[in-house]
Amino acid sequence: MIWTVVGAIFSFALPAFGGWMIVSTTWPCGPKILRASLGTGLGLGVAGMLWMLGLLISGSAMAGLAASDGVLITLTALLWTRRARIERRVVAPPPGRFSKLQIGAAAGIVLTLLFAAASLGLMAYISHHGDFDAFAIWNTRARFFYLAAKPLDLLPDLTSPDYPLLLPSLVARGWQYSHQDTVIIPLSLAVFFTAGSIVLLCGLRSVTSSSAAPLAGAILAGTPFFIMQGMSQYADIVMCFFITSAVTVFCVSDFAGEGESGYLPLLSGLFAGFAACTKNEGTLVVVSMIAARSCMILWNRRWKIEGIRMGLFLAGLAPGFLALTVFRRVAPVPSVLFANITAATIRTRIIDGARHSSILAGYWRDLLHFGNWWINPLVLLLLYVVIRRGLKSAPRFTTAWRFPGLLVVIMLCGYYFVYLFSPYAVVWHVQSSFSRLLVQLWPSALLFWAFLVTPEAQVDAS
Amino acid sequence: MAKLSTVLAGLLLAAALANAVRQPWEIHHDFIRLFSEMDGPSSFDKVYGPTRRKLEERGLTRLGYRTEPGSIWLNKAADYFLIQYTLAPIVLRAHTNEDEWVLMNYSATKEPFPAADLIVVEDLGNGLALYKRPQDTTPGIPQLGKVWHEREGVWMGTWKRRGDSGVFYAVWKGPEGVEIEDEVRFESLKGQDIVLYRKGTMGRYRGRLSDDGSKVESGQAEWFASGITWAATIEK
Repeated sequence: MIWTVVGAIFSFALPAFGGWMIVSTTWPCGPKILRASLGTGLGLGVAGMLWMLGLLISGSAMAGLAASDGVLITLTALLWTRRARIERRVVAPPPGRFSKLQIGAAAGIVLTLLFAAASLGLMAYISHHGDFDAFAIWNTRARFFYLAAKPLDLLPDLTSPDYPLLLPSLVARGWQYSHQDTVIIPLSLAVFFTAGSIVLLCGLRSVTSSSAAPLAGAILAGTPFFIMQGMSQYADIVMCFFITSAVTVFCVSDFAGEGESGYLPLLSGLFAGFAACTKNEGTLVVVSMIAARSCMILWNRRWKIEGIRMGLFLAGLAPGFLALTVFRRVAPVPSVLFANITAATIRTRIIDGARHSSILAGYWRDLLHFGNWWINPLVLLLLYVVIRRGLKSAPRFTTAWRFPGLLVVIMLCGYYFVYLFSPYAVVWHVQSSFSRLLVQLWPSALLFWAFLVTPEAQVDAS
Repeated sequence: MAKLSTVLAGLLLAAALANAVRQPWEIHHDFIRLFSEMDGPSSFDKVYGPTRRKLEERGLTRLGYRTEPGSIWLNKAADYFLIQYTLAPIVLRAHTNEDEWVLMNYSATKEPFPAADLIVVEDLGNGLALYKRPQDTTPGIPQLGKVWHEREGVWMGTWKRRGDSGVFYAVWKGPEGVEIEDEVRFESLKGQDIVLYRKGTMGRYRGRLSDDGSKVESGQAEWFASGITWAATIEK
């Protein structure tokens, strides 16, 4: 047992340290909490993607491990020897004493996070194998990769063979370290990606000095469906973390301007690529991010700098795109959703009023209730924006909300078209999937909300 | 107004805290009993671990998977996925009749039952039995080729021949992407006149092979409406 745990710890240690080094190199002045959560997620994404690529190219799980850990070790060593001695800017606490209100709010947020942690712990205790999709899809694949002599021969026989392989690759890699298919690995990944998304939102406090960021983190921690999905070991929360990370770093890059944060769009592209290698809707995330950034270019009219950022984003996207392309070539399974679509189907569906109403009804129902909240915070969130921005003495607010706002809207439109042209019964399709898609976007929507109420003077990531 | 925004922020935090505080209790009440009563991967691992070893000893890596006739797949899917998870890396193929070896889940009937095209090889216990398809007695017929690309009305079919047998695994794609599967068996070839039996429709396809044996044109089937024909090109 002890060696299993030690193996599990080692399987996380290298990606966490390697990711930390990559993030610290691209964002040397970033706050530690963000560098730690982004770095660990980035390292795990790199490890999973390279393991998947190694497996697809060579057909061997050991080659997958060699590819992922070989590249991570080389990259980490290279960055370690070339690391710059940068004088870290200390983010000083606000001067003076905290008011009772501030202390109360901080205590409330800490309590919320503690109860969320208790929920995570309880779920891990009672359902350590996760829920249906965990054993029906993701962990079964990981078992095939870990146990089979020729895993690639089995790809066509897997359930949903068109799903990309990053998550099961990451689980199988962990099992290689532990020398057994222990539940500790998928469980630890579930805890990290769930808690990591909350930490990302709360951690923005250190770059925006806005109280909205930790409040957004607390609201995320107080979303029961988010916690349940995470601990069910579904890939949606892994997607959620990658999307949130991609959006967060691009937003920071937006308000940080040029300088030492200039390479953040590269990281954003890497995270978007990981999302594309995790689930099929990750491709829609990539397309939506490119569309949202294109809108930003037109909106901001800063052609050169926005063009460079877009170029960096696309460069970051390249490894994920490459891994996904190799996967599609090795396992050329037609898309269940779009394989049989014809021009006639498109014409029929566009003018099918009943179908539109079914989708809109599903959207309305799930948008209001997807969080399984006891007390629904959505109206309060809306009211808060209206009041804050409507104040006569309102300061000038940051425009960093534009990117997450655009992305969420474009993604919702994208899902709408997927449902419109889906070959499945539309009511069933929306009912069975939309709330899970919403939970992937929920932290980005909260980020959008937090920036809407954050004064421009409070954002600084330089 | 500034006070109102502070009050709203407080309410938001209170809502978040209330939701977070309630969740552990909800999990405790709703899920502990549910999960303790449910057969999960842990219990399946204990029960079916020995089955995996038995199958591995026979050198089996890929099997068909079936349940009792007439069962509804949706009701059986959870069991299938749990058993597949436990038996991995052995692949269980649920929606095909192509495999020579079949793992039969007879838990609903309590004992292995006879299957028309299979013989029972071993009762593995815990509701699972290993079945095998007997060697097909139809001798190899070169005219049957490997794959038939068939068309009947709006349906486009692909019939894949099982080895050298007279049995085809057939899939048809229809309008709007609808897909159906069935089994087609070769019955006779007299001169160039060929007869094949389709299991699902319990009727016969009749047609005439071209002189070079590469296609069938304007064939008839017993269930076709008048004016409908079938045709196929044969991939050798």
